[in-house]
Amino acid sequence: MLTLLRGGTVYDPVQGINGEVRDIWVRDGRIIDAPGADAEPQQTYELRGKIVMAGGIDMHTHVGGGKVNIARTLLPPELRAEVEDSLRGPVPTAWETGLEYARMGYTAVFEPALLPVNARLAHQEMGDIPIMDKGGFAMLGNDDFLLKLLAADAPQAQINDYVSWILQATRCMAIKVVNPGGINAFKFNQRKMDLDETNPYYGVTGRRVLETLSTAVQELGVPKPLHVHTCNLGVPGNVETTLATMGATGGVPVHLTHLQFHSYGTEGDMGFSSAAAPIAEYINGHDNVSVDVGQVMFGQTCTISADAMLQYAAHPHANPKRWLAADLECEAGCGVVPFKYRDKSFVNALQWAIGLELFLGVNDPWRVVLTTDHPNGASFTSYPHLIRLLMDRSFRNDRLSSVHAEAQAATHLASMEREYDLYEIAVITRSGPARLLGLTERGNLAPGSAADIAVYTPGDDWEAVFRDASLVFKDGTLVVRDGKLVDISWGVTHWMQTEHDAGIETSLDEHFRSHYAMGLANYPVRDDDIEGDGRGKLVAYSCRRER
Amino acid sequence: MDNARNVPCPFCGLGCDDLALRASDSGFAIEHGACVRSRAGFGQPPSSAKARVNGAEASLDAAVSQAAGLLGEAREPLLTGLATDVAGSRAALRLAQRTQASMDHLHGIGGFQGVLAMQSSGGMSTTMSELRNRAELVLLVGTNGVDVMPRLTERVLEGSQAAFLDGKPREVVVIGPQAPDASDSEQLHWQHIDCPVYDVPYAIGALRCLLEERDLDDAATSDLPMTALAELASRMREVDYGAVVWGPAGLGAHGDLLVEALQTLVQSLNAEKRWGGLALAGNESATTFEEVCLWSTGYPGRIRFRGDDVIYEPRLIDAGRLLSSGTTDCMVWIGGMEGDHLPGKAEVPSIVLTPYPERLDWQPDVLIPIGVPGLDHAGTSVRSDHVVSLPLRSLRDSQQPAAADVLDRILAGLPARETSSC
Repeated sequence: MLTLLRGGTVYDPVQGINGEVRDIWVRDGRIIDAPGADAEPQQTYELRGKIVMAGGIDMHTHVGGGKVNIARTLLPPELRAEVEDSLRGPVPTAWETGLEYARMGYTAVFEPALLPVNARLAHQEMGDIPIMDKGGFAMLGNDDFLLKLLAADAPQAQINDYVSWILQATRCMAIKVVNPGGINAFKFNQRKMDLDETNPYYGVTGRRVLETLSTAVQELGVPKPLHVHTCNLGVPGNVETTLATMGATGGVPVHLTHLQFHSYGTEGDMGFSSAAAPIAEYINGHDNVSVDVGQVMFGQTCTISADAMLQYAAHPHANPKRWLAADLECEAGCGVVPFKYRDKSFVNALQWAIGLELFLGVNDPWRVVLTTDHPNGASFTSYPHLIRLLMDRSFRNDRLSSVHAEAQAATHLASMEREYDLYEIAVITRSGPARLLGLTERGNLAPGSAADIAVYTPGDDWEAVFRDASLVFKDGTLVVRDGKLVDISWGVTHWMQTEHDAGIETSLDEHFRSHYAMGLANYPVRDDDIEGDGRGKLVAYSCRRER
Repeated sequence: MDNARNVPCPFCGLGCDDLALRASDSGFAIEHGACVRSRAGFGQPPSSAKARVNGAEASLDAAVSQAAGLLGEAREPLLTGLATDVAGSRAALRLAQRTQASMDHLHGIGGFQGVLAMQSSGGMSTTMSELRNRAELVLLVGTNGVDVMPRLTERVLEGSQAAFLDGKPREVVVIGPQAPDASDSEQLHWQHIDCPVYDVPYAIGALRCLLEERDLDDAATSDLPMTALAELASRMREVDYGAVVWGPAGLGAHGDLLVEALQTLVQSLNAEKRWGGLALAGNESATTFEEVCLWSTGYPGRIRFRGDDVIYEPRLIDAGRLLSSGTTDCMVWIGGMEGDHLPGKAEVPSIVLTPYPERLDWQPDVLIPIGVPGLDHAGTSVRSDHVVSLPLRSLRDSQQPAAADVLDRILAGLPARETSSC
């Protein structure tokens, strides 16, 4: 089937196309070169005056895995209707997740904290998200196997073999580390762990975990830099830790996630201040660092994190007063704490401002990804509102003038003049995350790429523009028209194929026998676990090993 | 039928995956990892039972068509049993949405105690491997463990397997009427605080008061084993990592309140030391259905589909009540695991999917034999701690379809809808 999208105004940063009127041709789910003057498309969409971008890619959104179901259990249904702009609530079902993302023109979502032992079930949950492509980042760095290797000064090559084995066993796209060594330390009753403090059992620092894992990711050739949720999440004064973390990999690529929660100083009467400026300055001077923001929005949500140590510490703030923390299978943990961000709270209002300061302070949009760390800062359904805050300074300053007065005084936001343009929005919502993930055939509109395409109708209110896409194509099929679902597809699961010495399984087998209530043989995800329902599909990417 | 090793077992929530099986003509013999449940489950000979419509043998097509007809006419159908794998749970949810049915797992309110407690207080939890490696002290409340999960002692409690206990024995304290089902070893020390089921909540209440150094009314504690509880409280303060484990079935009528008390106890113990709670749930695939139901509907079960909405009424949507009060007009039973669980005779049109049709002592309108996940077909089941899932295998050529296949065929056979919604 040959389809023509005629005369839209195209924003495709990967090709450097910035608002040019172009035709886009699609055949069999792929974008193709113009097929010649005599080609007759079976279907033509007239897009004069419309905005055309690749489908959006959310690189960090909690859409799968046991912690999301815990949040669904904990969050009382009666509170769901309170969430702004959506009846779906902060923790939607798999089905609603796909619909709400598709409506905004998104076509891919990545679960950034996939517990390896939970991989099979997390993939099956994500398999029920319609329209979207999906993928997971496997969590390492608090697992007893890795810490045991580090404590024994195992060679980097052995660590690399393990990291590679995990990627294969979990069918994941990247590696994530959360509070390196700290979640494990919490199980030994340590309540705080900074980057250079040691895990009480293994005597290993968080810095060592970071260095080793970021090196492994680089040497295995995994495109996505190590995804780092560093220590001291949410702690006033954590800016020092965050700066140290960005420097800890010695120039090796590193991605700091939900940076907003890690950009706090201790200045002022409240002992809580914005440290967005020094952090943005650091990022501007270091090309190896990329980030996503984890913007806070006001309203009811539910925070879910693998960081059991700090989620436990945050439990007194639970709203409503029910929360759960868990130790998980000698691999990591989790904490689920319902939370309500209020614009009349000094701290919450400043968190909101800090996120925006980061977006506006980091100059290179290719290294900033638009996220709310769904649902931790807010539901992903608030992205259109966030895009308007970034694109429309007067709207932003109007909103700022209504938040806690002392928070207004504590932020430089009012003086920040930058407004994102559509090209930059396309970078931070599509092309940037695709490039970071190594998805060469997504996040762009070049011939040969998948025809994941979003079409928007311009207007004065950017929130309305990005709320409901006019048209969304997934692999060439029209799935959304005017924000409404018109067809169903199921996307694919992206994963990273790496190489390792199978000898690692000997050590793993011994470790499983001593630590796990499950055998090594039954741990890996089978392809049929994802594809067996007849609609899931795995797409593997090969790594080039750099040694 | 091949011999098989490292076989995952679907027959309880413990999720053992170390079974070694030897095929025989009458089923599988278990050479390693046997327990009473797996022996019964894997020992089943392959079934060649045929579907039945109104008691008479029928083709699968005819049975599916009859089932679709009954469901198409029903206004308030009920899907229950729901002892199936991930694929079966997904298919059951699809069928329930399409037919605007109510759903309740066969465990009923008993399986919901943990959920209700979570929705009231939350909790702090641990998992099988964490417990096995870290817990110096384990409280088993209302259960001795093996009555729910026969290999719990061997697989999880045995201290010799603990990575972080430095060879210290693990202490296990059973609170309730059941005595420990094992004797002391170098690695495992048992204690029994004997009290009747109805006193277990009072004993836990007293334990909390002792831990929080609150005054206790002598009259309220006169029947309780206070000396043992006081010793336990002081021991609980000393350990670095402890676990509180309960068997949902053994907690009595207001088990949710007891689970809430246990969860808040665990939460408060974490102010000083590390503790985690763990329910011995998940038998009859309860955890599997709960997980799939949560991501599909936002609710853990006990739901009713109405239009595009899902109504969650954990106290009211009760399969037994819906059937006995006449507020359902068609029952679909999906039971693919143990043979002990079969539906009682229903007074409404009934469609029963079970691997054990010969054990049913009444005649439903439609009876469809299905395979057992992990024996007759591959699948996924979820362990009691919700975190780990098992890759269930197909171990033999079976004539019986998976529950998911039958449910999807019934769905496809339903009359066209008047209104469409995806």
